[in-house]
Amino acid sequence: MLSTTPTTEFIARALDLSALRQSVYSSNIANAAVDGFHRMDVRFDRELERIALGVAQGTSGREVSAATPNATVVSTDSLVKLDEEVGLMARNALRYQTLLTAMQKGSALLRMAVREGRE
Amino acid sequence: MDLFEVFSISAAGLSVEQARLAAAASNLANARTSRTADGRVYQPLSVVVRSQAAAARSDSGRFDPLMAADAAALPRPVVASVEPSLAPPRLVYDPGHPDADPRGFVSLPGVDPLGTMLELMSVSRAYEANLRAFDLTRSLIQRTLDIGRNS
Repeated sequence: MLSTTPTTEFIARALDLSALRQSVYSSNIANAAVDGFHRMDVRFDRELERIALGVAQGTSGREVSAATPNATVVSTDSLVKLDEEVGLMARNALRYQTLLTAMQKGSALLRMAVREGRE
Repeated sequence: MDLFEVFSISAAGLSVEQARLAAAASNLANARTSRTADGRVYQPLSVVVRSQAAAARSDSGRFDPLMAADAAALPRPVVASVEPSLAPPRLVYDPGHPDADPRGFVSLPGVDPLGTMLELMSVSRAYEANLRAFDLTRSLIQRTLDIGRNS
């Protein structure tokens, strides 16, 4: 099944987390006018590292998908700085688009295999 | 993960900034209003913004309840109230003014022009940032829809 190949599974997970980041940054920007609002952030990179390690060591796609996403939205100590948030958001959007491109390349490979190498 | 949820967050941010803009504009416009409908001097307005978590939604049938819950639980700003600020009125000596007190002083609103201009700039930047967030979310969704095109 397409969805259980380790690569697509991994990319799908990363896309989910990137989308979560987009919503957290948007929320930070929206709440910038609130007195005493501390910016929020997503902690998940360590989890991704663990999954990536598993993929590198040949873990099957099923095991990767069994790894629960441990993404947590945490409140930090710092106040919202608009320019910083917009910068982070732009970087995250690029990351999201890169992941989408990677996913498209993955399905292009499959398509080539299905067509026995013919374009 | 529901990216569409982000639109409502950004929209809440935009409407809060509009309320701040309206208050600042009203303060600047009324900088010389010595008497309002209730007979007193105009009180500069300040907007009180609070953030609230979106109402918890019970959609247990979601594909990925954990991620969906996270996005829906993010705080959204709301205008809690628009309150007259406690800035004391300025006293200007103008004995011919109809609202002058017996000593010849007119009470004018304690609008701080410099502070209000700074507030306007901050509103403008924040509005832009919210629009940018809105736009980026839109283009991410657009790109996601393009998965599998040209195949």
